[in-house]
Amino acid sequence: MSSNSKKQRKRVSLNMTSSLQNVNSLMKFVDSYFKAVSAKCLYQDTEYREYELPRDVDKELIERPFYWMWVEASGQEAQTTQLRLAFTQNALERENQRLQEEHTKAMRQTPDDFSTFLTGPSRAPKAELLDYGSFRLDKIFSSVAKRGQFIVCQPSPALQKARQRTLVPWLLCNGVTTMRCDLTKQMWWSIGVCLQNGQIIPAFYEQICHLEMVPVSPSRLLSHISLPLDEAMDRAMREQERLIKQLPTDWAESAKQRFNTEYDQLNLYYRSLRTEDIQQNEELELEQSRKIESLAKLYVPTVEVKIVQLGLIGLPAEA
Amino acid sequence: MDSMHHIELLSNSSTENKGELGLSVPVTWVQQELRHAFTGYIQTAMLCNHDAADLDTSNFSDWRMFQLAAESFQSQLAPDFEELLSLNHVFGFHPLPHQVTAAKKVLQDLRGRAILADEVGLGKTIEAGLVLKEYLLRGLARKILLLVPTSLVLQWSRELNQKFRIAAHPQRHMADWKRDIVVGSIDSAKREPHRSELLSEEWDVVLVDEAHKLKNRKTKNWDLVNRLSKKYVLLLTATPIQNDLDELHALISLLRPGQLGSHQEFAEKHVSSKRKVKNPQELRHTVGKVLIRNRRGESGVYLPKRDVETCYVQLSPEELCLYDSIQAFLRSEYQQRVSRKKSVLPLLTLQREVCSSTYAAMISVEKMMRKASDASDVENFAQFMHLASKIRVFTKVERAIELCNQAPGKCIIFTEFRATQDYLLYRLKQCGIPTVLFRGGYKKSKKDWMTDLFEKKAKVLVATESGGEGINLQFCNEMINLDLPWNPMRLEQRIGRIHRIGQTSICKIHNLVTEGTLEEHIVQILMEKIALFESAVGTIDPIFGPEFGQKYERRLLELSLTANSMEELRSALDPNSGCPATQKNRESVYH
Repeated sequence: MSSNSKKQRKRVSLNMTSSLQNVNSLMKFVDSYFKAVSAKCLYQDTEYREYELPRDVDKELIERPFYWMWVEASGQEAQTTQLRLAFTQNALERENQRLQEEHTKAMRQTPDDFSTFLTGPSRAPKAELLDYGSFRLDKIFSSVAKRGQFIVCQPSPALQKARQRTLVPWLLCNGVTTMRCDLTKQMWWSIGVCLQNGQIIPAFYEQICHLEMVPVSPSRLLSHISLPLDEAMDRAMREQERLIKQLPTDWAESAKQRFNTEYDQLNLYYRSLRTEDIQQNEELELEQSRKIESLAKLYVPTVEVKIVQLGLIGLPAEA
Repeated sequence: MDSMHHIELLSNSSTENKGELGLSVPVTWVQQELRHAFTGYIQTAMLCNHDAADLDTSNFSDWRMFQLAAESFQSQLAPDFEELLSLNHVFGFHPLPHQVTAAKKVLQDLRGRAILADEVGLGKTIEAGLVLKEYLLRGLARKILLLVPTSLVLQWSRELNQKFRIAAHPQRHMADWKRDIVVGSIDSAKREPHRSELLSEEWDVVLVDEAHKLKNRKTKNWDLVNRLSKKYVLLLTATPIQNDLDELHALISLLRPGQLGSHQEFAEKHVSSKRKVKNPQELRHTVGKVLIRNRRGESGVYLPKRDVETCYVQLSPEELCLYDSIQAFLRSEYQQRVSRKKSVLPLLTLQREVCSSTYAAMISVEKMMRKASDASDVENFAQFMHLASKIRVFTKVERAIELCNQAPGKCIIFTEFRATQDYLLYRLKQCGIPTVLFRGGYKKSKKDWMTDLFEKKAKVLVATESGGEGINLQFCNEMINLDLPWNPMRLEQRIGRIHRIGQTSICKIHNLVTEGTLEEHIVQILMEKIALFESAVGTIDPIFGPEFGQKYERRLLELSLTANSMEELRSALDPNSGCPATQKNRESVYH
């Protein structure tokens, strides 16, 4: 049982190797994102990209709700945003210098006209650093999370020998388990449930994530199932709970021990403060129970599970 | 009584099967609405009813997006309890090894409730920032309250935003307390209506900077922090113990009530007298569970040496005459005021001013003269003014100017009094030395501007104590203390302005001391007490310094005004009387 859990832990850490904290994988990630939302790449250089955002993406990445309210109310032509993203400090400095030079050149060619007279001399645009932890990347993450919640698909026909072969429908359920006391540990999990025979496959996503997939009509997949979707989701959750209960609990035990020790100390402390004064004692008791509450919030171990992605996947029968 | 329920569960849990989470660790499913949303999504997709035959390639992006989302979820996980995730999120600097170690220790050993007691200049803010960011990233904290000195509210907000990308808001209006992460001043927080507002919230983290303001459990400060509902607590102070062991007990009671036992137990176990510790080893061990202290020597941070020199100044006969007559006046006045239970604070100020500069003392004397009703008092004051008018040269100020001229680079002069500062400025200007000024009440922008001026244009900076907080002047390496604060920690903080990370040359500190005055004794005591403190807090040694702060100043005044001779004063001031500070002792202070 414990070797099993070790294996699972190893898998999680393997997943982490493609970490987005590395500049190259982050760039690959961001490029794929903008390609997927069909943003136009206007300029690129090493560790640097300029993207023109489509309207829907603009709304998700750039915080300007009042602008959109105004544009939509007045029926104006919206000005699209151009993101200038530098992935390293070097690229940032280099590109800012380039932008400045281009700007001065442009200013020399077209001398100030009346509009600049009103607004003052225009400034050169600036690039922004998109590193792990930056505000913009957080925005991209939440946009990705929203857009990539659900999927209905099948392997690309090119990969299939016979296009008309029957597809077996599967429910794909990806989620995150959080073990929480005063610190946290999280695990990624994925479970597949066959909608025809109820078979359950752990780490399902990891087995299909490398495939090329294309959309498929859900009605085609759901036409002859023996397990309703809702029932399948229940099964996936029960299975995940079963797996969680097999995980080691040393972390929870030691959190409880910490709680018990401090709980005793706390009670001892408040007992020593008690006086003859009844009103004062009541106040102290109140304070004591408040502190116990905080202590429980801090240490009492819990496990939180959530589903973050759901999919309906049609796989060729032999897979 | 939800918590009681938990507790019952916990006490039963020890008998349960340890191999399984069982009942004791509840497994909860969160955000289940995704399930329903998915069902809805499938139904809409069915309505579109696109056949496999007319697959639109633009929809091809769906699967890619799904993969990206999975990748981003996985990259944002906290893969284990130990890793410091916040390290990947800091911006524009690299935390030093001792800061990373301290942050990890707070999270893993001290479990988020700690006193960060690094020496001045080692970056307590960075350590705290790492810890805060970690809790935010792990979803363990949302509501964070930072209580800091008023002058540092903006600086804290700025640093958290810039270096850690934590959206901290400086508190300006009542409504700001409602924000998730708010930086406020402890002085307003302890007053109504702010206080009730803060007490009604549930905070995940409460951080108090300059936490030595919480050393007394009878104060509003302590009471407020004690009452706040909170999970994690960080107390930042370079001086967790200023007076006696009680203070340590008060601070630790905020973090973990009862960690040191009840007050009585603690006293029985550890306190043999106010300044002496029983069972020092055991105490050190217990204190280590809540306190982290990095010292310059151990942190691996390279800091150049400090070279502290005490310059004795011989007063001119005229100055000595004035000093003596003011002393005589203070003595008789002190007795009178004590017997009539009047405030002796003005006397204390005058006593200290007369050690700083005649100019400062005269301004006070003038004020007292205007208020005085007694004819003999007026006569006294007039006599002082007359004596002072005979003084052509203020020896101490001239000596300071001399030192400035000798200094190859820039130089900071510290004084406690604005009047002295004004006079210094006037004299420096006469001598043609470019000077900038620093005093309390300057806004951050003005401070920054002055710092800039000092770095680029001026040679000398004249600062009062209150103007010195929160500024970093590593580019200067010479300091003159025209007068000495009577609290060793304030002296340490002065020196910390230049002797900090980033300083590359040896720091020269000149302490100006007038011979044959009370100051001469104070400087000696200061040196000893700093040595005591360093050994006490650095390693929690068995000796704690005597009381500093206002009480201590009052006691010094009392002694100086009642002692019949200098020798008597000396023996009264020295706790191990008959055993004056050895030279070796003094050297060890400034390794």
